[in-house]
Amino acid sequence: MNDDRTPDEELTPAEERLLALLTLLRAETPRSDRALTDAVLRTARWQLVFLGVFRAVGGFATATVDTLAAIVGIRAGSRGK
Amino acid sequence: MTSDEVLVERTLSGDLSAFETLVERHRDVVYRVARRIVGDDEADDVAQDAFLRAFHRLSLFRGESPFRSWLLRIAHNAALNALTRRRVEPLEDADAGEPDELGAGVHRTPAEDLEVSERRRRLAVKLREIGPPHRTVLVLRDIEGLSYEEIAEVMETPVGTVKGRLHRARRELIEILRRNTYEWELPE
Repeated sequence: MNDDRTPDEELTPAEERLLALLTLLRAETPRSDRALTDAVLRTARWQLVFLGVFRAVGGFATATVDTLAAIVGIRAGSRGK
Repeated sequence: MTSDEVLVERTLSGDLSAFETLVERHRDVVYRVARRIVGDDEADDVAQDAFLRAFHRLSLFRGESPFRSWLLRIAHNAALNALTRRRVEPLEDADAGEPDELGAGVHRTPAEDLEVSERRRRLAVKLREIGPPHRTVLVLRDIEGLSYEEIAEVMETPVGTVKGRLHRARRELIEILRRNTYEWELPE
């Protein structure tokens, strides 16, 4: 526990008592387990795959739109001549 | 030990094992803070959510504050979102249920162990009765022992605001405990 209590931080007796009570919770250190890490990594991997597919589909769609726009542009240009 | 900043860089270059090390390093504190804010049932979900949010926002981490502060800020926001989603926050009845497991390595009589365990359980329940911003600052300061500066980073507020909130949080919890029939031995 950091004890960077400033001099102006005067505690009342009730606050002192509260801090003593809270040491009960500080002493209890609930721990997560390895399953949390495994779940995070499993989801992260799945999301990376999903994002990869999504970007590929998005890239393909963008390329298609760009190609179509270029074709339409070329035709519109040739009609204008 | 490899620094958090190096692990962040490695993760950003595609090394998922570096992120695994970051999760392993910080999962306990993230879990504890989540548990104190949202309770036992949702702590795992909030902690997972926080790490996944962090994973996808890792490129936004500038290293201006410690990685732990940045991560706890995300965990804090994830916990607040979980509380918002929960329309009515269910509170356990402090006067019901079995006492928690006893702490190991402390020499007390079985009766004293039971008393400490029961007091701890009741206090954890009462802690969840105070408003989320106050609860967070109390958890980060008086239970997790973070510095005022780190709490200010986590809560994205000035240090002065943190100190003010902490003062009000302690007063609020004291009032809650005073209204409780359980004897907390709080002086006037």
